[in-house]
Formats: sequence, structure tokens, C-alpha cells
Amino acid sequence: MAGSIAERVYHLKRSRWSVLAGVLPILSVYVALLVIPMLLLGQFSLYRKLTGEMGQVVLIREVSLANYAKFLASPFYFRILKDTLVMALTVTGLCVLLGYPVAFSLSRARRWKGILYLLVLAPFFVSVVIRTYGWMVILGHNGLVNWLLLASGLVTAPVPLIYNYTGILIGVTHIMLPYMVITLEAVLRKIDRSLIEAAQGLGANPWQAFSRVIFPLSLPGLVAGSLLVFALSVSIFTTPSLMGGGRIHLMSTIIYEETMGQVNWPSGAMLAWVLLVTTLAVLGLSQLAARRFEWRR
Amino acid sequence: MDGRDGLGMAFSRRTFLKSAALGLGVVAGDRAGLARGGEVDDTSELVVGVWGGAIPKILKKTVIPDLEARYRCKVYVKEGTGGDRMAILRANPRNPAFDVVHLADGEAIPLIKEGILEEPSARVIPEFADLYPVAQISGYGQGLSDVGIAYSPQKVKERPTSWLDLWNPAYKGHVVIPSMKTTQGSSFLPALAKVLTGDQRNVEAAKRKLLELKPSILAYHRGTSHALTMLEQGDAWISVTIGAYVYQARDKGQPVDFVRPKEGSFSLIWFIDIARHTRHRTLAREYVRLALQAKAQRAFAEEMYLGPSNRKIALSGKVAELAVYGQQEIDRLINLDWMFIEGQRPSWIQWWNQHMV
Repeated sequence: MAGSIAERVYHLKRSRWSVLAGVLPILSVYVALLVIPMLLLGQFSLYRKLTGEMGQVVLIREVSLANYAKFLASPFYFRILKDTLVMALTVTGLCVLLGYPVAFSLSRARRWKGILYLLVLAPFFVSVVIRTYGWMVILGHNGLVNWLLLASGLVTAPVPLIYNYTGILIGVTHIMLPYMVITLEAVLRKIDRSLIEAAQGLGANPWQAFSRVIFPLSLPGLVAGSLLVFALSVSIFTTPSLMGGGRIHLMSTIIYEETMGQVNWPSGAMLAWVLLVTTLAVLGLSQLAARRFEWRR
Repeated sequence: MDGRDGLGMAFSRRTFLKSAALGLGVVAGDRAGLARGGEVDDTSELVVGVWGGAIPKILKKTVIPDLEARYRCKVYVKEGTGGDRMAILRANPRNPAFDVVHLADGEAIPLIKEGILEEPSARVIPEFADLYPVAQISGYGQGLSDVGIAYSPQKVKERPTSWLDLWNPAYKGHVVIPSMKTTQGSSFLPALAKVLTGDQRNVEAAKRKLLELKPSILAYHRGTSHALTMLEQGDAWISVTIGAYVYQARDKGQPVDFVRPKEGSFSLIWFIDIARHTRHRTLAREYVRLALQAKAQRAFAEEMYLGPSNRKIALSGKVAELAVYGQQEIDRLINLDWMFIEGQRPSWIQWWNQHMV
């Protein structure tokens, strides 16, 4: 092998530089449009807002942790944070349950693959607002679902499916499902089919072949999909604000309300930071858990 | 907003940060008057901020083409909520993203006090002197309307007569009232206080009464079109919202009706305000003047049932009957103290979030 240590170091350095050159454009966008604004928001979260006699907004630019203290002392905010995390986790669970079979069949499909893919992606072709209004029609008191339930005799009075927590879960799951299916399918597709044949050749029935071979191999996709869905649902705004009928608060809706309704930018900024830190903590913990799980195996 | 706003003249940045209390532009606004002399006044374009729906549609048929023809300028209309417009103006008061904004009720009051919007004046807009007093409070009143009870006659068999009919147990699960973050919502609380106790400032009584209504609530609406959608889908049976919009929906065939409760409906006035630091002052003023003149006033009355804000405009027929028209009818409304509302609104929203949501 040719090359001194100096040369090898040079190559290593050059490859590092080329990596950096590759990520630099996107990195600069992230720093300019995400990192810096978030830091400014963090600075704002340390200020305070007062209301004048006629609603004038008075900003106190003194650094203090008053907003965070307000958060920690408030069962109201805690409940909203808890509701938000529970909603995002439930949506993630629903997406796993509903998305796995779809992703699995999609990865096995041959002839209709293109069309099936299109169907999975279909929700993306319509704006969130229109989709949500569609749900309002379907889930309302006189909507399709209640009509079917009443006609089939399963219920005697319309079930409230919208303007409540159920409505939010349905709406958000619908929006998040494609993210789960696409991520999972990409992993499932790469699993070598001969592995199933091998398992069956060694005497495994189809269920065993799935649960002992396919499923463990699909775990990275499941984890990636879940993280994606969780991170997106924890901050989703439009659907909960429309489907919740203004009766359910999540972190995103309360941030909007404190910022726009009460013009309390410092408090809104504080809540945004709490949400960011909590989300990063949940994602970090689940990454740790996933790594542990892999070591054990 | 910070040291760059010319405050450095009087304070160093540090003492300023220490002494601290500063409105988003209050102090800066006071200095702006001094700078007026060298102000830019460009007549090539104007940016107007307004809600979506019927209002911009009528503006695009009346005020905007007339202004564009007269000045050979371009008028850009940006649609959004009043809250969005206020936040955008507050974010950058010295370089406003809107030259003219449409706002409702007392929304503009804090921004006028903060020096972000201009104080209205007959000196710059001669038509201001012709406006009903209620349309002079927080800018240039452009149209009058009122908030009462909207209901679906298919579901609500007996026509409601009183605000208290909302508490009828027969409507449980089907009542929709405005969210506190809307202007309708922050007016509903003091209006209810007035109905219950005769004093609009006695909001504690109104809060207790609203808590009694909570089990009957289907949802809180974010505006009239939201309420009308829920009424149309049959989920909502009875709601609190703006008469003018209910009449428009009824004209389009939606089975919905509107009642002015016997205790009085409450006013909802539509205003136009000029950004204090606009760079298109001539166009902004001319825009407001056109909106207060007969052509636009009539179009808003005939197409939207908005009562004229200009006392010189006379109406007749169905429009005169349905719109809030004339001083007599204004006096019959529950007229609210918007200064009081604007000062209290943040604490009401807080109460609402913690107890009604």
C-alpha cells in the first residue's frame, strides 16, 4: 500500500472537508432559519410582558426565569404538555398498528405497486385544511360514520367523533400515516425474501417466519417511522385547532394563543422552548432505548 | 423596539435595558412625529390587510379599482386574521408590512396607544366628521353590524327571544359560542354581564353563567363562517354570531336564521386604520376616504348587510331593515366599552383557557 501516514491523514482530512462541503449549504440554511431563530426565541422567553390599561403591550427586557417558573408552578400547562405527549404517542401507536400491514403488503406487491403507492401518498395531494374539512363532514352528527352506525343499529344516538379528543386523534393519525408507511416500506422492501424461504425450509410456519425473521429486521424502519411520526405530531397545529373545536388545548395551540391572542411573546417563546426540549428528550431517550435493545440481541 | 429605534439619543442601551419598561413601540412612536419631515410618500403601491371572504370581494369592486385608476398605483390585498395583522405590525412597527389594516371593534386601540397605528382624525380624513360616534372610536369605522343569536330553524323549533335561551337544556351538546380569542368572544362576556346585571364590567357574574353553559357546548367558533359551517352540517343548532353574515348565508339558501335578543344584540363595528409609519400615506388616506364614501358604503350595505358608518348615507327597503342602520338602532344595541375590553382581554383569555377549554 502506497502512502505515508501524512498522506493518509491528508486523505482523511480531505474526505472530512468534502463531507463538510456537502452539508454546508443545508447546514447554513438550518443555522440561519432554525438555530438562530430558536436562540432568539430563547432570549425572548427570558423577557416578560405586561398589559397596559387599554391593552397596550409592554415588554420588559429584563432577563429572568419568571416564565419558566410560571410553567413549573402551573398544573394547567402541565396538563397541556401531558395531553400533547399522550396524543403524539397514541398517534404513533395507531400509525404502527395501521401502517405496518399496509407497508408490508406494499413491500410485497408487484403489479399494483405504483397505484398502491399513489393511494398511500394521496393525503399529501390535498391541503391539510381541506382534508380536515372533509373529516368534519364525515365525522359530524349527520356525517357518514354516524349515519352508518345509526343505520346498522350499533348506536342509538350519534356519537361525538369531532370537536373533541377523538376527532384530533383521527385527523392527526390520517395525516401521519403516510410518513410511517413510507419509512417502514423502504426497510421492509430491502429484506431479502430468500430469508423467509430459508426460515420455512428450516421448519418455521409463516407466523414464525414473520415474527422471528421479518419483524426484527424491520425494527429500524419501525423506530425511524415512529420517531418521525412522534416528532411531527407533537407540534402539529392546524388539524388539532380545527378538529378540536377550540375545546382541546395542545402545546401548539396554546403557543399560538399566548403569542397571537394574548400578545404574550415571551410566554409563547417559553412554551416553544419547553416543547422543543421535551421532544428532544423523548427522542433522545427512545434512541437510547433502541440502542440498548440492539445490544441485547 | 430596541436601541436602534433612535432611543439611544436619550438613553444608553444599558440604562435603557435596566430601566426596562418599554412598549413594543410606545416610546419609539412618540419620536416618530419628529421624523415626519423627511418622510417618504410613495404613490406607486399600497398594501392592505383584511379578512377573507365578502369584505375583500367588495373592496376589489369599489375602493381598490377606483384608487388604482386615480393614482395609477397597485393595491395589494393580504388576507388573514386581525390577530395576524396585529402581530405582524407589532413585529416591525417602523417598517410596517401593511399600510392600511382592517380591524374590528377595539382591536386597534392598543396599537394606537403603542404608536403603531395613527390616531383617527378629521384633519386628514374629512369624512371622519360624518361618522356615527360609535364608528370613531378605534380608527375609521367602515361598517356597522351586530352579534345576536343564529340558529337552525330545522333543529330549533321555537324562535329564540332572549340570550338566556342559549341555556335551554334542549340544545345541550349543540350550542356554539365564539372563542374568547375572537372579537365576538371578548365582547360576548361583557355583553352577557350587561344582560345579567345591567353592568358590563360585572364580568364575574357572566363568567359564572358561562361555566353553566359549558356542558351544552359543541365547540367554540373562530369566526362567523366557522359557526355557519357547523350550523349547516347540523352539528350546531344555535350559535352566537354576526347578523350580517347570517343574512348573507340565508340569501344563499342556507337554512339559518338570526334573532336580535330582546335584551339587545351587541355591536360589532368594522374599522380601517392607517399604519403610523406607512411609506404610502397619500394612498392610505385616499383608500380610507373612498371606503367611507357613498359608493363603497352602499355596496357594503347591499351585498353584506353592513350598516353605513357614514351618517350621510341613507338606506331603504330590506337592507335598511336588516342592517344596523341609523342612530336609533345603534342606541338599541348593547354598546360595549372597548377600552375596558382591550385592557381585560388577556386576563379573560387566560380564564377561558383554564376554565372553559
